[in-house]
Amino acid sequence: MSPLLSFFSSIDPRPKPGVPLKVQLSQIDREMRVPIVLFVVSAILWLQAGTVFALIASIKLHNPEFLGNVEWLTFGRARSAHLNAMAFGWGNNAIFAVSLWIMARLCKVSVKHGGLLVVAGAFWNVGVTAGVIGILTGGLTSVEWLEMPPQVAPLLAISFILVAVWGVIMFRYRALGHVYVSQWYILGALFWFPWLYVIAQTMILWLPARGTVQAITNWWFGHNVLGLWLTPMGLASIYYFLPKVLGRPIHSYYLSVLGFWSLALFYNWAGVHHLIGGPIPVWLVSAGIVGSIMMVIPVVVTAINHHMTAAGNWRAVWCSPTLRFIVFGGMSYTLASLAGSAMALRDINVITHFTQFTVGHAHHGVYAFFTMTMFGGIYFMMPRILNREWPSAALIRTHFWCAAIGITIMLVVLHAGGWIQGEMMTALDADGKPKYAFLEIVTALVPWLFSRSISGMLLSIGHLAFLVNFFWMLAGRKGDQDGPTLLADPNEEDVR
Amino acid sequence: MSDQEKYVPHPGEPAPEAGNEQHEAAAYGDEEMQIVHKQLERENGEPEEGFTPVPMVLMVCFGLLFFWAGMYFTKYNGDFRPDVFGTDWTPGGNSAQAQAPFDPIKRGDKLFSNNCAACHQPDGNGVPGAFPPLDGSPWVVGAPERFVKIVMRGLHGPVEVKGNTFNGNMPSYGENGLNWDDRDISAITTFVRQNWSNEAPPISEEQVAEIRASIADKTGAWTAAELLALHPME
Amino acid sequence: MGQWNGYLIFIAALGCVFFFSAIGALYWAVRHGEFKKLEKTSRQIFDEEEPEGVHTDFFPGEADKMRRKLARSRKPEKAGHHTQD
Repeated sequence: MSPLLSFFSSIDPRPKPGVPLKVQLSQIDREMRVPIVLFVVSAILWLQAGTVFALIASIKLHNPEFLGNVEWLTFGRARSAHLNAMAFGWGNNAIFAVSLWIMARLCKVSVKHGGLLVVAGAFWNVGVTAGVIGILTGGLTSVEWLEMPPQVAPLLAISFILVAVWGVIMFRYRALGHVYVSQWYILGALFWFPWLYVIAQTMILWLPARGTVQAITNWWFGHNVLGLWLTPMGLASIYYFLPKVLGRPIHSYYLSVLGFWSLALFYNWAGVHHLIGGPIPVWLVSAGIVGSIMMVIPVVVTAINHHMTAAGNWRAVWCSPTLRFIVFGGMSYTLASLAGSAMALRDINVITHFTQFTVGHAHHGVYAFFTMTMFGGIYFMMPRILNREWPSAALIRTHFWCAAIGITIMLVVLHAGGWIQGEMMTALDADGKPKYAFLEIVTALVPWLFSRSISGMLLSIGHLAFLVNFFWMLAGRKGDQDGPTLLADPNEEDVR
Repeated sequence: MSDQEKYVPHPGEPAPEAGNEQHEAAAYGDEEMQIVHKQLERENGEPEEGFTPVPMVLMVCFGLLFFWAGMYFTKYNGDFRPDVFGTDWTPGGNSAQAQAPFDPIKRGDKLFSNNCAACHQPDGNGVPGAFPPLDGSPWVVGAPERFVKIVMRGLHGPVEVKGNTFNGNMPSYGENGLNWDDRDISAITTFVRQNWSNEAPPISEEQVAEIRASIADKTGAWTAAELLALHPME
Repeated sequence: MGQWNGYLIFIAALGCVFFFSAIGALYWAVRHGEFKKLEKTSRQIFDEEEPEGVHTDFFPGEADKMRRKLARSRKPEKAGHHTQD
């Protein structure tokens, strides 16, 4: 056998025939332990870093003199560092961990050569670190969602592909005939993200297209990172963990398949609604608006599915740390998406665009939905991966309440403040001149922005509780092992 | 039940239908499993179908949504032209829109708000001790040449307006500055000469072009003294 | 305009590749019977370790207490189902 062939047969992740299912599952968890722990550790560390940048940027909005002399932490850099640390540091690492694990679980196969995955993951984190340092030292680009210096892009692209390829390999060798809806979402997103990233890098930074084509590509990319990368991964987690933990199948599997395909069809168009009123051909904007409104279909379908599955089981949801976060995320997905569709309408966009309302909406989607589902996924996954229980229920509760209350306050103040800001900016006096001077609007926003910083501090407390609980667990404190949260009980064989 | 009897089929061979059911059945029936896993509480398998068709109401709503999408896109597609940017465009109405007459006052108002009002203030009274007023200023309503020359090259150093002396720097909107064309300079000067209590005659594009040609060699901002030497105050 | 068109063709071509691969995936899914026996697929996530009908996640150290609580709240609903098994 040639070396190449033997390599290919060695990555065949299928278990040997005749191995009992139970043993297979614990084998999957064991083989994925190292890469997944690496991803979760880096995700949590990036979460803390992103939180610090977020607080700095947020405080500067109402107290501009705060850290005013630190060149590395001007508002523009701190805000971009926050976005990239969260999206590519926390978001992607959490996705790599949770989605690869769900994929392995559903395909009933495991990762062979997990070492390669570790190397690829390490390079990903090196790339993001270099990118964030590049932003802080002033090497950032002016393109939103692509602020990292273009030099790190090839590194990120290659290490992403090396990570994602394991998802595809697992899918290729999956054990059961039918594809579960979470697998559809994960597989779709694994192809969508590199496609978006490479096209955007090429057309904006490497071989720049001219004029407004750059802006169109920018928002096509920026919005699709949310819609075709974070969203499918969040939904895949909900579709897996919600029925799994409740022990009852999803309300209507048919609806979930419909939801996946309509998302794939409509989301791609939605990003252009960021350019309403801009100098780009009006048909493109209208297509973006129509695409955004049609997103109501997958959203409603998904909402029916999630809420009907959870309905009547609220006590069970409340008893499970995973489901508290997951169901919070599912509800936020419904609300955020419907609000997003409404914000694409020209009449509403006139008011909300260029205000804190949009910022609030972004946090609604990325934090209240995506991040919360990832928290839930990590709470379910880690005890099975590490064969240890979370050490402290109180810390989990602290994390949940700080996150839930913090993000709710943030959303309320940003949406309300943003709407007021938008109304003030568009208000005209009798002569048709702007009614308020710019500085008046800035002053009016200060209390809202101050409340936002307070909510951010709550979130930071929650994140710290998460960090402490996780590293405590990693350090090996054995918790009470009294429930089925432990997958492979070491004494199990003796009992039987 | 023994685990050894169960196996996971390879994708090559067709997945045996029975495999999955067998394994579900095992999960339900095996008493021993319950003890081992301490699964004291169980909610039994839902008897309901996983296949719930889309409710009719929802289908009607989705139908309406598609109908709206079609209507909206038909109305606002701008004939798929790359040069149509606004929703107020209507087929055939295009030529009238393109030839909308140029209104120097409207244009000048917009230029003033964006470029001048920050210093000279929206009411044209300036800021005492810092920025000279434009309302009633002889520099504005007097000789057109003086005013246009200031706009085209800027002004630095002390200048006396309505009995007060101001010492500042005004930026240039001509070739060495923002490089406005003749039409915009005629619009801004006309607007300022006719706004508030000012009632001076307009300045035409041709006048601006003439003045532009006459100061082609001038580099840098004017001083008040230079201008007064060229065009003494009336 | 020239530059515009060049890029438009580039985007359109890539868009077509993307679109047709999506159509291909849909075609594969239909042909592979992915839209049949949907109910069974929805139960695929359960296995003998974590079977259908069992709640599998609790706060650490509180599993027994919460399980009892859940059992109490479910009593009436439960009786009917048991007879069907």
